[in-house]
Amino acid sequence: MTTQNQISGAPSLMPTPQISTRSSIWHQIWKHRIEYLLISPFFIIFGIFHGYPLAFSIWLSFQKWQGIGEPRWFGLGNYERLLKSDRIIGALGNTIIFLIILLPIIIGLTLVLATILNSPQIKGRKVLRVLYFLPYITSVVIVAIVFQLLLNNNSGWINGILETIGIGRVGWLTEAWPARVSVILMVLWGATGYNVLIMLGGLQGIPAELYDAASVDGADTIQKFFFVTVPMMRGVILFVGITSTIGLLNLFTQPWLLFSSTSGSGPDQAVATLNTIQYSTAFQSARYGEAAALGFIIAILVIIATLVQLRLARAAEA
Amino acid sequence: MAEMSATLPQSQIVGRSRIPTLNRILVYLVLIVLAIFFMFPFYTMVIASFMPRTALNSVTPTLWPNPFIISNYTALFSGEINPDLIVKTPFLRALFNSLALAIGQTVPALIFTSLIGFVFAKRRFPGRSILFYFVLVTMMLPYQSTIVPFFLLMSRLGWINTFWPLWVPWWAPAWGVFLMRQFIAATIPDELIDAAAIDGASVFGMYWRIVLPLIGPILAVLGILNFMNAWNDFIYSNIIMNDPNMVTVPLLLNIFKGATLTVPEYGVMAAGSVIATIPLIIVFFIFQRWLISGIMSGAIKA
Amino acid sequence: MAKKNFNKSMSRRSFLKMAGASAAGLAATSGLGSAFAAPASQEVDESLTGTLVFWGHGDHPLDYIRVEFLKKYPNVTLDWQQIADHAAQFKTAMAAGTGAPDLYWMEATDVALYGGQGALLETTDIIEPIKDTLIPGKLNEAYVASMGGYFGMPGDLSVSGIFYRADIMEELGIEITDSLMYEPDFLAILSQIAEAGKKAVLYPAGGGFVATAQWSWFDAQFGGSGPTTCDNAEVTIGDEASINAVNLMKKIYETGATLEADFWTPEYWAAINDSQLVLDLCPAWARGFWESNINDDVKGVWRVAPFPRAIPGGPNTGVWGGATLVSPATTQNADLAKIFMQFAFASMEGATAAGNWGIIPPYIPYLEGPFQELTTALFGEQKIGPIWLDMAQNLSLDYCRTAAYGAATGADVLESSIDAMIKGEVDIDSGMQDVADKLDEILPDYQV
Repeated sequence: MTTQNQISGAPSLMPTPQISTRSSIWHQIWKHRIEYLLISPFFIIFGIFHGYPLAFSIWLSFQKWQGIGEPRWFGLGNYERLLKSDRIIGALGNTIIFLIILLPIIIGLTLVLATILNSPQIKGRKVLRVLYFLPYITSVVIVAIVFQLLLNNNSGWINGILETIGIGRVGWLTEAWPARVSVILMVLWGATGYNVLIMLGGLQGIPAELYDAASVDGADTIQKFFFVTVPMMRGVILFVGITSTIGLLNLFTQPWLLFSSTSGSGPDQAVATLNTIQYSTAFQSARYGEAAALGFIIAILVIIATLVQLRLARAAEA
Repeated sequence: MAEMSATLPQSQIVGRSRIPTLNRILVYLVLIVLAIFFMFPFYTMVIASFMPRTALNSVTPTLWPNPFIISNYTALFSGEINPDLIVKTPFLRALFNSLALAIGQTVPALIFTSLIGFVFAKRRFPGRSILFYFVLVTMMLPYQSTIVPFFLLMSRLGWINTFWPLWVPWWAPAWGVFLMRQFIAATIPDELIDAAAIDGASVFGMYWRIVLPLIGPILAVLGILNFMNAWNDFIYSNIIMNDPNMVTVPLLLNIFKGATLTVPEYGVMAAGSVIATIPLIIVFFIFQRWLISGIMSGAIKA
Repeated sequence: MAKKNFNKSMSRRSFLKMAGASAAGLAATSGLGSAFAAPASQEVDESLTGTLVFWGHGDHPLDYIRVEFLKKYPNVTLDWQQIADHAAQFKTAMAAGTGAPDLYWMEATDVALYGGQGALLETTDIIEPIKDTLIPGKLNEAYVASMGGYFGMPGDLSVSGIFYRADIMEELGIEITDSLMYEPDFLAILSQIAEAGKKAVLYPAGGGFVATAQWSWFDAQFGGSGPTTCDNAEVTIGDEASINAVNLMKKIYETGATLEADFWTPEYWAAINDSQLVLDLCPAWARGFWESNINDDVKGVWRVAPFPRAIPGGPNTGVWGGATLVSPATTQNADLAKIFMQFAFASMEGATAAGNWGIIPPYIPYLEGPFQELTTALFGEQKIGPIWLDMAQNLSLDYCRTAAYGAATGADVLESSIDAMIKGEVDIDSGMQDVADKLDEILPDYQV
């Protein structure tokens, strides 16, 4: 049965399976027909509008198709090509590097920031929240230009500051690891506000009484964070973790915008991600079957990463 | 029935142990530095909207428009960007279209996701776990390669140049269902639901009278994010709309990029982007009032 | 001149009109006017009717041509639709087989790809009679060998040349003539520029599409046929011409003169504005971008010259980009489309309008006529017409951009490998062999 949502208990992370052996399965289904009815819009909408296109995509991944004319059967050929390709292996490495570095930072940073921005002791937090959210609504074209201006080698503003304080220039856009740092910076810039907002929403669900009780027990701010906030936010943290994982494994925009000359690959192919390759395979090289196959390879990776996260979350719950 | 208490007095709200002054200054410092980091490109965009289009080519930081011009804004509304670029869609029309797109997508989404999220969170039925995992998995599938069949489907339905392709397929987004489910599972005590069941309430009744009033904050978050996603959509709008009367703001701003032989009209694009963010900021401020801590306290005193 | 005061900054076409107007002594009219008036012998044909839909960006060369066309055929409806990302929309419509427009401005490699699959309207019947009036090097691009015919009307000659600062070259005692060789002349010039602390030739970090464009030029100049043979049957990206091209690029890089900035970013324009970048290899259509992006005080002092030659008597130019006007095979208005195509780039009125917009149409009577008098803001008083025309007539006829060209020079074949070779990290001969092998593997995908 579901874990009870008691004041001191942790909320259930994921729905647990419900199989009752008391009555037949059909009787069960009929008994809960209203539930099935209420959730049906999701499945109907998905089936009609996304199911068919996805089925087409899967079928396409087994074909050779240049965007015009008849697709030609290729079996597992696309998948073979991709999995043998050095470039894909390299991009896989880059993608995983970005995931491992960014995921903990995003989760930790946004939770802490949201907690701070939720505290009535911080004056001006309403304004700050809007400012933190601005990246989400800033035109992508302008963002690309601004980051170029900040990061470029000869006349970049960051290098200007670094030179003035004596550190010297860094090849943010011209060398491998600095390029990765640039992408990481740009991703953090874009992803923080959005996730802070979600964390803020989640924080509203924590009853104040819990904090009161903790204070009575003599807890200070840090302890309250780890013993009240984090456990109660587990569900939302998992949400941010999973959606960020999906986003990071699908990373495309930032490498593409910063390094458009090299189709999002950067110096020494250091920031090429699976998704930038997918895009160029489709729209530059016109190999749509291969691009579809790569899309599904990415999807499989995402599913694996998500399962791992769910496992870890379950283990942490115990 | 549960009673919603009014906002509790300050002293009972989160984290009210006094923070030492030094820590406080540090915290504020960090917050402000971060704020500058986040808003800097937006600020640049605002400045660019008051400068000529080549202004962004300057490598020296510009902190104030110099020269200051408003012709970008007048060009934006008149549609006459330069002698060779006359845009066929009035900007106000595009704003209206984007608004229609965003509202038509978001309002049903709020209803569907909260309802479905509630059922997954608080109702027990066979297959609940499997079905929810299915919802999750749909978030991980590759949609990049689905544009062509999507277009074909919409074409066959006769929905090209209408809002339907940008509304209906997005009325029950998986991430929304996921978010709602997580929040409802964590926040709404089972006792409330059980009490209502004993009182003979229907599932929909539980949703309407118990759940809905208590999920204000997360509805606000979902509302903001969904509205903005819809407002900023480009890929799908691009293949569905080619009628000038149906063009949305992102498409229009892209048209200002003009030919590949001339420089993009950055000034006008920036002006358009600035105006386009005004409704978003308004929406944000409206929904922010649900993000005040304290609303939830007392909710469980039933 | 346009009466309304738009952005205070003039559109670059206004510059062109000013320059052209004073040279030709004609008054420019407002908006979509023509610097050079169309020949007076234009009869109005009211009997022609029908509708054509075109998908393009705002501010398009075909806008100018449309005006002229409607003067001659006032009862035709030309529905020019401004589409945000027209490439994506066009490809989607073509892939779905429905909703495509009657006219589209298509890149050369796509012409080979779509034409080869029978997705485009064949135009052999209108091209054959007028073959001699079109530049052969450009006409090639509308020809699809596997179908044995022409598809579409060649539109923009994308010849490329040296853009250089005449004043600074004079200071440094460097002479740019039209008979330079890459080795030793051009390399020596670059070394000299590097020693003077200046920059010449853009080479972004990682190479990217700038590198592959340069490879493309040099390969043609060394007599190569591009990444494949012209019938798209065999891989030639590993042949001698190709390897010579990469070697040349390496030597250029090693002179130390190259500018490491990203393509057409503020950093690049700043280098021009600061007189740091004093020479570059550019396609003709770069001029418009340059004029719109650099400061007025560095305009007028640039000059254009043909590329140095790679082999004696070889081509002195190469191509980059340059579109062809095509019509999807599904069009319901084939005859009207053909009439428009012919007007657009094979008539004096159309070619003049195209030239006024700023592209270089392949119509020889125009190129030998009004085009000769063209002057621009960027190149000051230099008459660039004769120079571009000479280059156009020297385009390699052995070089082709086939259906596989996009993929061959794209991110998964050449683009990702070329930088390592130029920086000396990978040996060129074996590196190009690897590239050839990769292309070999995917070439069948592009063969119909």
